[in-house]
Amino acid sequence: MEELSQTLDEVFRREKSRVVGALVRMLGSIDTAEEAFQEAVLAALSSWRVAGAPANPAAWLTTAAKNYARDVTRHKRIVDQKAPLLMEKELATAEPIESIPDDELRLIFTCCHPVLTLDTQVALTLKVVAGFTTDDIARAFLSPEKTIAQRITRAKKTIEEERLSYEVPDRAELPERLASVLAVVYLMFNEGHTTREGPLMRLDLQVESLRLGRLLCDLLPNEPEVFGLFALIAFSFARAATRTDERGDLLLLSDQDRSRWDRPTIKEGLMALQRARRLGARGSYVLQAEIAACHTTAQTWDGTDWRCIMGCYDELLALAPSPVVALNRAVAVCMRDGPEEGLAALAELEAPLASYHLFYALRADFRRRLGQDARDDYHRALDLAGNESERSFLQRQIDKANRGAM
Amino acid sequence: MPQFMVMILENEAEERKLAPSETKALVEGHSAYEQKLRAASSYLDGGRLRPSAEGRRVGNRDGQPRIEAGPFGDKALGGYYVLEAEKLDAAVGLAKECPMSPGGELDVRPLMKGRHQPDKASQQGRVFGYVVLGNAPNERGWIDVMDRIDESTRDGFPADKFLGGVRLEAPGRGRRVASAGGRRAVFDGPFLESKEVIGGLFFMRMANLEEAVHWASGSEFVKHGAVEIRELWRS
Repeated sequence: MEELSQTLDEVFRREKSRVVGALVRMLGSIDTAEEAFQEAVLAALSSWRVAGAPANPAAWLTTAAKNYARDVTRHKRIVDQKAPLLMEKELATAEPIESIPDDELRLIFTCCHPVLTLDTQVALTLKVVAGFTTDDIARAFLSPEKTIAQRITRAKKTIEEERLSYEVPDRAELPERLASVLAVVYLMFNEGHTTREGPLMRLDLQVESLRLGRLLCDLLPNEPEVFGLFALIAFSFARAATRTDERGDLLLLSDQDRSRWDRPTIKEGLMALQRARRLGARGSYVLQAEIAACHTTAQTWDGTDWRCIMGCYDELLALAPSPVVALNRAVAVCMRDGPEEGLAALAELEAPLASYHLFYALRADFRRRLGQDARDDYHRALDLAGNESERSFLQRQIDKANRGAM
Repeated sequence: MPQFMVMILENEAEERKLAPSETKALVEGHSAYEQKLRAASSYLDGGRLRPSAEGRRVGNRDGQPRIEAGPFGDKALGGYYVLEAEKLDAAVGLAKECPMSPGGELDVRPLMKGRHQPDKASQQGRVFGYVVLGNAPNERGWIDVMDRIDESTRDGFPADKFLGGVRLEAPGRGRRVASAGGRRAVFDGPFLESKEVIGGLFFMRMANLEEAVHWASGSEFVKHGAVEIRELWRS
């Protein structure tokens, strides 16, 4: 029984965006569509337990949800004669409605509409597209469930009030709107990769961002940045298991056991990156994926292709100057040209990154390599870091430096 | 000009052991190989298939569809190229340059008929490859099985889902390329007794694996033979 409900859970999560997407097209409201989906899930639970899951669960769920919506609409009409005839004709047809890829895309684009704040876009996407409960989302972002629930309710209200067009943006609008969708998946992944506070990673968020990334590849198969982002996520996810040692302490990339990286997932990344290359443009996600590919396919840390990595960082900086990108580039400088050059590359980054713990952590590392006292920088990094694994890593470096100074 | 399919038969267990740098070389090698075929105006179509462990095989037992989850054996179809060449030897010459993973083989088979829809990876939605399989005690019997499948499925492809497909000549009319001691050796196309032999490959756009399997279960393919359903990789 346990096993069956796990399978059903899997099916509901996987099918939710397709079914809700089709329902929003019919019913015109995310809220009503979600309610109808919930009812369909309840109906499915009792029916599938007896008869087993049907061959096409999405069609079954859509039909059940549609029936529920029809009943509600009828009831509403009797209660309130002025209520609009909610596409009664369409609802009355018996055969399951075809869910089309565009339904899912519309839903994603609406949840990631730039009129909503980025955090809200992420919460709404996790809820509506990924099928997370508000409780799941609250735990992922260490926020009270009430806050998340309110945020989602407000977002749905905004969508209805602003009459956000529920459609796939046209060619002219697509780049900006797509950037917004990719930013949501990227943030979801980043939060899963290194949480802002608390434990090192949240694997469920990483898995979900990987799934959403792959879904976007299927829905927008000719957008290089979609494949770049998916590849980037795959490369990082493939290394997740080696990021800590057996005690749970953070291991830097240079110290990880590369033989334990997840090879099938690396292949996913390489295939997606190849598709991005075929499609042409090198946008910021494709360039980040290229860098990740250099790291992931290098046999050793020292054997990494730093020249290729430097080139990608230069291209990234040319696309959009960013002190964080410059900081990452400094690592490649240090590895290719030595720590002195690395320190020089950091010099002008202190002002813009004065509150970023990794700036001090990195400068400390370069100073340590040069035999200088790095404790001040490690302390500053520790003061600024929120992630527990990173904090304990920094504390260990301080302890080591103290022992060395004695 | 005659057309040929180069089928990449992979030893997936060996393939999974490749270091990331070797996988990278293989992925980039295929991209370069495709460009080379295109430059020589030999390229017609090509694609890679996702791991067989994600696939399904639909056959029949006592008249009822029988669905099995992959992997299905020690060799899996990992990808294919369709190319044009003057004759079989020229096609084999082109095939010998195709990247191979350890323990893999290449089958070069003349095309009997079909139509290609190149660039299926640009299609929105998911694309599944259907590998048509037939089993018979000898090649003549196998051709009969394929004829029956061909006859009964001719009009069975939904136009809004079908993305092209081909039927292959019998293995005896093809060649097999294997790698031995760093060199590529060419053998006659073997017909293996009491083993399923690939007779064709076609593609359909489907919402998901369940739908892809559902369609196959109700099709004529499984009455006379079997199909292996494998998702197309986007690369």
